[in-house]
This record gives sequence, structure tokens and C-alpha cells, in this order.
Amino acid sequence: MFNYYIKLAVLSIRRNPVLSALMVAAIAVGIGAFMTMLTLYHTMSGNPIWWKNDVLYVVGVDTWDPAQPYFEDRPELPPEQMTYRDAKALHESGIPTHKTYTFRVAGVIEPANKDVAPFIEMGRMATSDFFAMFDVPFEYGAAWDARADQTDEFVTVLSKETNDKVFAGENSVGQTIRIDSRDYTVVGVLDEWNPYPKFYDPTTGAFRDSEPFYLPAQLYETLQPQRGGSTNCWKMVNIADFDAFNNSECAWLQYWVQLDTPDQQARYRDFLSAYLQEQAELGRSARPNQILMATPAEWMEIQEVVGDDNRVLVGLSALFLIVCLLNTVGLLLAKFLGRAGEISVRRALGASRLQVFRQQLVECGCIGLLGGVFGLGLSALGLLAVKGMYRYDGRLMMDGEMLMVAFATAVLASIAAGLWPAWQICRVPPAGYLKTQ
Amino acid sequence: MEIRPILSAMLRSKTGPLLIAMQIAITLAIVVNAAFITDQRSEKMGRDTGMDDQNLIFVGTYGFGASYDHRESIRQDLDALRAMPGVVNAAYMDGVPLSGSGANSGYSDKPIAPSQQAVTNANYYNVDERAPETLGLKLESGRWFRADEIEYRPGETFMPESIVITRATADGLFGEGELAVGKLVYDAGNDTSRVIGVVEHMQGAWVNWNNLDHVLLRGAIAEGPLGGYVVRVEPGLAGQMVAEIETKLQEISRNRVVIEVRTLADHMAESYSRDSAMIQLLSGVSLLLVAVTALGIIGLAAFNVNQRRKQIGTRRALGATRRDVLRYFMTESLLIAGIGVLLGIILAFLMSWWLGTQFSLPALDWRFIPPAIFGLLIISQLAVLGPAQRATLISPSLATRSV
Repeated sequence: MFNYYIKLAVLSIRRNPVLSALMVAAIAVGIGAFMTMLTLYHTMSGNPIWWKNDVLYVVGVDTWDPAQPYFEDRPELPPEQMTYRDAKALHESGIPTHKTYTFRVAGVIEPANKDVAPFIEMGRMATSDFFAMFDVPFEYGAAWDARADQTDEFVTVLSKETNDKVFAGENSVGQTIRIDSRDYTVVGVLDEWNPYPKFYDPTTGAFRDSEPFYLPAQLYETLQPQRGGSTNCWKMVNIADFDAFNNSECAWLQYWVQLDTPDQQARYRDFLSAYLQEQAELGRSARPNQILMATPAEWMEIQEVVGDDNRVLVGLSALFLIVCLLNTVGLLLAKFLGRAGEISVRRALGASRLQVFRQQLVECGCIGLLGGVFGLGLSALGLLAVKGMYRYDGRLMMDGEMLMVAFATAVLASIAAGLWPAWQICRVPPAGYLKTQ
Repeated sequence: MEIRPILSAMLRSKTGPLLIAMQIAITLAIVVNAAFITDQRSEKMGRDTGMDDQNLIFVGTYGFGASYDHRESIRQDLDALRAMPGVVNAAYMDGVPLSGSGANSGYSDKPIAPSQQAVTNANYYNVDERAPETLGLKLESGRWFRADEIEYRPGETFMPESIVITRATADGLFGEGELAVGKLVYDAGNDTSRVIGVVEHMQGAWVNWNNLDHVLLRGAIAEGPLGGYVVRVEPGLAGQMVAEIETKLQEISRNRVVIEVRTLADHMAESYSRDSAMIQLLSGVSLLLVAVTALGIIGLAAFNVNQRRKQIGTRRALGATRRDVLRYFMTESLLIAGIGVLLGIILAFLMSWWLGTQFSLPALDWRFIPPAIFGLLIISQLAVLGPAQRATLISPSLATRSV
């Protein structure tokens, strides 16, 4: 019976090509706009490390200005980044399973091939735990070992893109690369790794690519590199004086820990307050109860990675979809009522109301499916346009989940749109129409 | 015009007209709110920068290696840039206004205790004597830097002898409209600089910052591997000169990497990208929405005309003119659109209220509503014109036929 209904639906769609095309177009445009906005929102609000969301924490301690909070509108939060002295002190703790302090530095890469001009990149310094705690995938080699976190070793991990550019994509582990006039031994090359949003450091752009090279944070004091992130200070300091700066109240590092058990989490929290207490007693400005331990998801929320604009757009495009459906209801009503005569004949020949009802709904489902297919095409175009508008580095595409949402929305919406017209038509008394024939 | 028969016909089959009225209502609500948000964003993007923003190019360089001489490199680069055809002027400036990255610090008009909050905050840049002129700034009072005043020192947080501040910074420090030239400005460490000039207006680094026009220009060059230049070019050349400047600077030295060469317009486009995306997306949705609604009106009207062929024929046979038939459908559409528009006004304010509570957007300005009402009524009339015209062609003889 179902196949027969589909056949009827195809026939009926063909019989009224203009009206059918209008309906398909209305659904397609509605679905297209809605799915573009929803996918944008879904991608922006995605958690690229969801499987570790309950064990990873970004850490902040409040040693900020006693005269004013760091976030004027959220005084309960400590600064989003950490001072060097706090990061070094916290790094002594043995409680976390993994811990890292990390920040961006500039580095000029001079390829061995003299035909390729030197180029500058924003690299990242971190401890070896960075790669373990964020499940960073390696194509060749591995992270530097813990020794390079203790004593100076000039080793580096390269991103896939850098390895492609400098070593033509070959296994470069063991080779040397010249960064900022120093030779480094490559110990690892990453596989494709560009988490969006860039949860581990959204402060320099949440939808920017990951860094092209990584150096042990241990080398910071030896290299005295040009820092590349944002630096916020509340107490005057001469930034040019390296030692003074490192002992200053300027916040510029990101600090992350992995705490696997509730017990670790509780102990670490206590450790942080005890640390702040101690700092306050030493005469520093410190607020012992102002601690930040945020999961990646909470961190994205605090950093307002998803703008209010995106929520407004999802809401408005949902309303737009509703208008498109209202439109479809009107058109379906017109189409079904125009066929009252034919339906009456079928009813007179013994088709039950339920059968007529079902047949109309199958037709609506077909139109919905067609609208959904075209809608997907439109939202692919929409996403392409939106990617440019938002200067989004990564791929902005529907994933499996979004595809399913798109088709479910299209079919359910068009069936919902068909309910009222189908109900109207199956209630038409056949006798009246048959007489005039 | 006979509104009663139209109304009673509409009441007999309410669904179709009701659907159209609801579409018009939602369309009005969305279009009005979208236009309001769009207007606010374009106003934000259109604020005066105080600079010759369309003709400026900013350059960043980074020196490395033992043979790199920072001061000499800056001098060489600037000479080369000024010699390029199409370049009006070039100067040292260590940051890019409106780029979203920069430095800001607290300043006061008198010495302050360590726990005291500074009087105002300003976004500061190190510049040389040619920078104000290159940027296209307008001097309100005092004077610009002299070449011999520009200090060359390590670090960027020391206070130089002389600074130039914007009027907004002066207002923040010394009070609204107060004289600033000749006065001392204190940093948090109570080091001082003297104000030698006040700029009428200039925007700083962060477009979403409340103190966007609080800018402080320091007559100094900061030692270090980083160099920065602002280049002003002949009108219309900014886009094409980016590549030329990059090539030129790369030719000069291999001990220095050109980090980026970009027009100020491009920096601004990036800083405002969320706002311009909002404008484009809202306009796009509004346009589609109006189109879909218009199609809906056409569809319903065409259906109605088809359904009523016989009645129309009968009316014509009874003496109604073509104009009467046309007027019937136009009036019907106007009635439906009118109901929709009334509903839409309520819906628009409800939506604005909801947006206000959820996203703290400002309340809707009522002045956006009349043009939208007018526009939608016109569109609904135009949409029904086609089907109605076809209705006038129905022959009176139709009434005499049985089918």
C-alpha cells in the first residue's frame, strides 16, 4: 500500500508542477536558512575535547588588582590567564595526573633550502603533558620526554603543515630545523590537529588554527622569546626587564590540569586556596576564595566563544522556517481542496478516511524529503558564505548529527504542515462533489 | 466598497486567510527587529575613526640573527617606503588601531597611591614625529612631535618626555573640555609625561571597548626585534600596494621577516566581522522572508480565483464590471494584510522584549515600524495583482455553463 501511495504522490506532484515546486522551494529555503544557522551555532558551541570534559580544568587564581576585579561585569572570576610566578609555583603540585603551562611565542623559521624565504610563525611553548592531556595525535615520533621539561633540550614538535612546508611531508624525526637562529631536533610531527573552538587558548581567536610548532616551556628563560599572546598587567613593571617581568603581576600564561578523580579535584581546589592564602599572608594581593577551575565547556562559556548574535540568528531562522511552513500549509490546502473531486471518487469506491489521510501525508513526506535535499544544498552554500563572514579557519560543514537533524526537520515539518490540510480533505463529504460531476 | 460580503466570504473559509495573516505578522516582526539590529550595527561600524582610514597600510616586522640592527633597520625601511611611488608618507608606529590587539594602561592627572585606581585608561602607541600626519589626525591644540623629541629606549612601559592624547583621553584625565596641553600625565608608577598636543579624535584598538577613542601617542621608538610602520598611500591605491610594499621590504634585508602588510580597511573588516556577518545574515533572512510571504499571497490568491471562477462569472453576468472584480480581490488582500500587520506590531514588540531579556539588546525603536507596515501592505497588494487581473478575464458566460 505504501508503495502505491508513493506512486500516487509522484503522480500528484507531476500534475501540479508549479504548486509543487513552490512548496519544495519554500521548505528548501526554510531548511536551508535554519540549518545554516544551526550548524554555525552547533560548530561554534562544539566541544572538541568532550570525552575528557570532566577531567580537564583550566586553572586561574586571583592575584589581580585589589582596587578592581579583572572582569568588571563578573567580579567573582579571577583573570583568564596566569602570571609566570603563579604558574611556576602551581607546577610544583603533585596532585594532577597531568599539568601544563603554555603560551604563544614568535619564531622565525629558516628552512634549510635557501630558496624558501624565512617566515615567522606564532608557535607554542608547553610542557610535555600538553600532548598527553589533550590527546594530540602524532603522525611521526612523539612528544619530548619529561627530561626536556627539567633541563634545556632544544627539541621541537611540528604541526603537519609545517612538516609539509619545511620537510615536504617526510618523516622528519631526528632532523634539525632552525627556529629563531637556533637549531632544534624534531622529535615529533603531529597529525592533522585543529580543534575548533581552540579550547586550550581561545584568547587569541577561538576559530584560528593550532600552532605550527611547539617548544618545551623549560626553554623560556634561556630563549627569552617574543611572547605572542595577550598580556595583562595591573602593577607597573618594565616589560623589557626579563627578570622583573617574570616576577611581575602580569597575567599571560594558560594553565591546564587533568584531575581524574573527585578526590583529586577536591584536593587540588584546597591546594589552590591554600596557595592563595599563603600569597596573601606574604603581602601579595590575593583573593583566596577566587579560584577558577573550569572544564573546557565552562571555559568556552566564560570566553563567550558563541556570541549572542548566533543565538539570535538560530531563533530568527527557526521563525523563518515556521513562516515557510505556514506558506506550505496554505499551498497544500489549496492543492488538496482542488482535488476534492478525485478524493470523493476514491472515497465512494471504498477508500476509508484513514487511507485518504495516510495517502496525503505520504505525499507531504515526499515533498518534505525533496525540500530537505534542496535545503541541504542551500545550507552548504550558506555555510560557505558564513565561513567567509566569520573568518573561520576550519571547515564549516554539517556533521552526521546535523544531517540527521536536517532531514528529520524537513520531513517532520512537512508532515506537520500536511496534517491540517489532509484532515480537512478526508472530511469532505463525497456525495456533494459526486453530484456536480 | 462592499466589505461585508468579502468578510463573510472570508469567514466561511478562514484557514487560508488566517495562514497568510500569520505569515505577514511574523514577517513584520522579524523584518522590523532585523532592520533595527542592522541599523545599530551599521551605525557602530560607521563611527568616525579620526584617521584617513581608507588609504592606510600597516606593516609589522620582526628582526632576528646577530647582524640585525633594529634602529638602522627602521630608518632604512622608512626611507625605502617613502621613496616608493604612490606612497604619500610613512612613519614608525608599533601597533595597529582597530585591529583588536594593542596595549592599554591606566593614567592619572596626579600621583596616585599603589592601591588607587587610575583616573582613566587609554590605548597607547609608540610613534615617531611623522606618524600623526601620516595617520591623517587633526590637531585640536598644542603641536605634534619634533624629530629630536622621539626617544629610543628599551621596553614600552616607560613614560617618554612628550605625549599626544586624544580629546576623549583629555576629558577623562582633566575633565570635559579642559585644557590639556602642557599638563603632566602620571602612570601607575607615578612616572610622568607632558602633553604637547591634543588630537580631535582617533579610535584605538578594540572596537567593542567603551573607551575606544581613549588613545595616547608616545613620542618614542621601543627597542627590540619588532618594528611597525604606518604607510599612507594615494587614494585608491591601498589594495594594490600591499603586495608591492611586502616585496620591497623583503628585498631590503633577510635578517628581518615581514610579519604582515595589511590595509587598515582589512583590519577593520576583521574586527567588525561579527557585526557585518550579523548585518548580512539578517538582511538575507529578511529578504527571503518577504519573498516567501509574497509567494504565499500569490499562491492563495491564485487558488481563490480558481475556486471562485463560477461565482466571478455570475457576478460579471449580473453587471459587475472588471474593475469591481479587481477591487474585490485587492480589498480582500488588503483586509488580510491589515489583520496580519496589526498582529505583527504586537509580535514585533514581544520579540524585541524577548531579545532584550535574553541578550540585553536595546528596546525596539518604534520608528522602524511604519515603513515596514507600509512596505508589507504594498507588497501584499502587488502580489495579489497578478491573480486578480486574471480573475477579471473570466467571462460572464461561465455562469451559464454547468461546470
